[in-house]
Amino acid sequence: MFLILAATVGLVAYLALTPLLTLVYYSLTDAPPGAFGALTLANYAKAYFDPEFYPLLWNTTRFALASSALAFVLGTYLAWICERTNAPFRGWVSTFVLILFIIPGILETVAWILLLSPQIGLVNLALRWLTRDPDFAFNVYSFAGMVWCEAMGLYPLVFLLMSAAFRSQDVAMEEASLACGASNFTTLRRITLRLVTPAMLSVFLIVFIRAVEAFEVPALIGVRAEFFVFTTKIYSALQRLRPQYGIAGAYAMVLLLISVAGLSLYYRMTKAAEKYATITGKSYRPRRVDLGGWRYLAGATALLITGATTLLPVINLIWSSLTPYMSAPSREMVSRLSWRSYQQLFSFPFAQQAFWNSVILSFSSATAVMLVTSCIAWITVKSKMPGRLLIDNLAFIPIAIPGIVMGISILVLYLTVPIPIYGTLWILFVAYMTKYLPYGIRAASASMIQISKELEEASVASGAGWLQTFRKILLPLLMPGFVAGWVYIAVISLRELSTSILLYTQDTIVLSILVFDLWDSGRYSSVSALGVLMVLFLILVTWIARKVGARIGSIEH
Amino acid sequence: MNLKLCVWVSLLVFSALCSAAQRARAASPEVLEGAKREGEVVWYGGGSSEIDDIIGKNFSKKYPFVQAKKFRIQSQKLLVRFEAESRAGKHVADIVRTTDWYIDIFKKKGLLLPYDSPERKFYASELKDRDGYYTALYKFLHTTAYNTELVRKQDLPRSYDDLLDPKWKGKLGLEDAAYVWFVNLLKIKGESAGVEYMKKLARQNVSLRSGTTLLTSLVAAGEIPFVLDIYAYSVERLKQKGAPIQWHVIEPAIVHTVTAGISKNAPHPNAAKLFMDYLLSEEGQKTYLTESLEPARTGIDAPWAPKNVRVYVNNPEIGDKVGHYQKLFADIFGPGQ
Repeated sequence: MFLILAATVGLVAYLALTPLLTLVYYSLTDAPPGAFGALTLANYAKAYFDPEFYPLLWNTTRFALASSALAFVLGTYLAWICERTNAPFRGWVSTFVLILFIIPGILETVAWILLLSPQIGLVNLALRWLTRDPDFAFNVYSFAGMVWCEAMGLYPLVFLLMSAAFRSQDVAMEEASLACGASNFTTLRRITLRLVTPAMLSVFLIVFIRAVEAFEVPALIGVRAEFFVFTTKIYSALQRLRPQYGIAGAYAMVLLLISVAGLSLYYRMTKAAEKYATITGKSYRPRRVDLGGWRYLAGATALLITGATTLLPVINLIWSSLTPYMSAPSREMVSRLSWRSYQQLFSFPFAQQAFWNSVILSFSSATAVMLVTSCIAWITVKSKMPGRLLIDNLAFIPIAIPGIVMGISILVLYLTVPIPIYGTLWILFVAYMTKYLPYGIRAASASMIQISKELEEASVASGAGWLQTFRKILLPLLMPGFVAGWVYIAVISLRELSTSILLYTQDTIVLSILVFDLWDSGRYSSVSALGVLMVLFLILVTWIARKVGARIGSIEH
Repeated sequence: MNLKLCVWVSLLVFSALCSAAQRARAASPEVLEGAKREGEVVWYGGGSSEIDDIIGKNFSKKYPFVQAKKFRIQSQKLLVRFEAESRAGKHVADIVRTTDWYIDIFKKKGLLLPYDSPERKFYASELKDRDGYYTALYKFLHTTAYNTELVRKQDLPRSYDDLLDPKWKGKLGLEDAAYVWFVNLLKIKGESAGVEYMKKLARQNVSLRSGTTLLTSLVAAGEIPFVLDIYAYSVERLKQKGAPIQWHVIEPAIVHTVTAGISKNAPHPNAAKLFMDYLLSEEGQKTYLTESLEPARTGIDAPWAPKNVRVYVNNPEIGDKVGHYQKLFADIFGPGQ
């Protein structure tokens, strides 16, 4: 047991500390990547005495709070409907939500521009025709427009993790509440939501940091809306002909602070971990709330929300993949629809290789991360090991490290140390594992906290070893959170670009590089075609993941 | 002026002599033997993967004993990776290809090997490095572009100053990193007059977009009527697909190039020389025509490209000095304007 735990802790420390130390080092020196230079505080001075910085920080906070709040409310509401009520259309809703995940960020944002642009947006044109008001417009190029687009990218994550939390909930307390005469709503508010506090806090923290780090929306919409955020600043420091990694590093320290502060808040609020353990030795069966007649309204709103937020961009994507250039649907364009971009895509050099590399990497890194973080979550939630919070922090740190800095640190590290993984898929595997530890650890701890200690104790008392207990008791009970985390990591790793671009070679090309390649060379139709194929692939993968997860989860019951 | 002419002439003579000397060496059996032994050539660069794939295949057809391996990585990331690899003594790339400003930074950092390929004599002097470190492969002609359904042909501007006409207010678009355009226009107009011009232009409510792909697409889709700076070839490609978009030259038109050089520590130096010769050869250069790109070699013209246009070629050597122009650009066209 100690051997396994020590090994995982060592691994996490190694993965997280290397980019962190690189980041700190660059922020303190003027040396270019891979070289050594004199130590200096000049980067910090330059970054934080810049009068432009503080308005940007305030903008970022507003933008991140608004979009993560919107995403949070939408995602939690939909997760509750799908997992805990008897509303109709639940299956449809949960499939639709996940589709939003896989669409490459650039395409999703462009899709919203084409829907909500005041000049050419389809939704606006339709509404103008309906309301007969020639000036009517939802302007995507505004603060509200940016928040909307960002929230659309984030809420599937909330949905996924909250679904897992709701699924692992015991109903005994809810039943007690209902028996005491509380209404459904009161029970939801005072029992159901309270019990998933750890999961809610975890999810909010991740979503907030992701919104702080958001790149596509600020770049594609913010530039036009003249709403600039913090990442635009980091980006422009890196965009120079001589990129200023030191300054970017100094700015990244803000992200690090937010992450660490967020985590300590999380610990304070979930201190009495036993309170949230709902999976106990007693019978455990989730029950759905009977909403009565309301269920049609609930189902309809859920379907409307997901339908509008998924189908509109997806239809747009399909349309773009079939047309030769960006255009609004018209009779003339319908006559020009063709499969050409798909054919072009299949004949594109290395397309198949990129696909297989991405699949291998996404599956293996998702599995590895979830296994490692499940162990770490056991240490931080169940054990009384000294320094366990530090380990949790370590696993969470990589979320604050900009992708490009992560890429540089891994690049330089494996160029220097004699571990021969440079230029192989392994180096990308290491990078993805590091990058996605934070998501894994939050998904795993939120689930772990719901499992009561007595189940393990019973297992150990019956003579099982730790490993056996972990494998046979904990892992199956963790399954909803495990699968949710796995699906999320598997999907976002298909989209990872900023780190991969520094580490790949011709033989280890991945899908996101292909997306970028196509986008950068102006092949908008082919990028859309690739997006459509990725959506189809994702639907297949989530379906399989759920089947497999449900099987492992149910065998032991 | 006379002195300049003298320098040009002597340079020409010098390079002619060099290339005559080189010709014998490049075709030499040693290089071929060496390339055979090395078996492959690795090149880093941004730009179209499809063309590079074709070039690689054709090259291997001609020299079946060498395989060309390329992977796509653009400007700064190429700089980071190439520099880090060189410093760690892990030499992977034989040839790097990047935009003119960057390649000169590589040269100044001592990362390149001079190689005066015999094919270089077919390149105009402003399209190759005088010390033989790099040569342009293809050119980007910077033009304006407009949506043909939103802008009438007779309304098009004939000079840069025409763009200050009030009728363009609110109709102009620009990439948020159009530094080549910005810097060269300042050079054309003279620094202070140029800055004045840019400030007046910014008062036309120029709307910024991130990335040329988005910008070109939005012109085609009708959101932006007129864009100030775009690559003509990308407009041409969309136009050939039937999009309502057209490029429009204002003279002098700015040109920048994508250039290639051999790595100083190329692991396959002979194959690299052989491949460089091929990239610069007539056959290699003609490949670029398939994607509407403009080859840099004299005498190979893209059929769509405008003839007899007065051009202003971007100076690669100022790449490391444009930092403050990037800030100036943001000050003039950024938020608050």
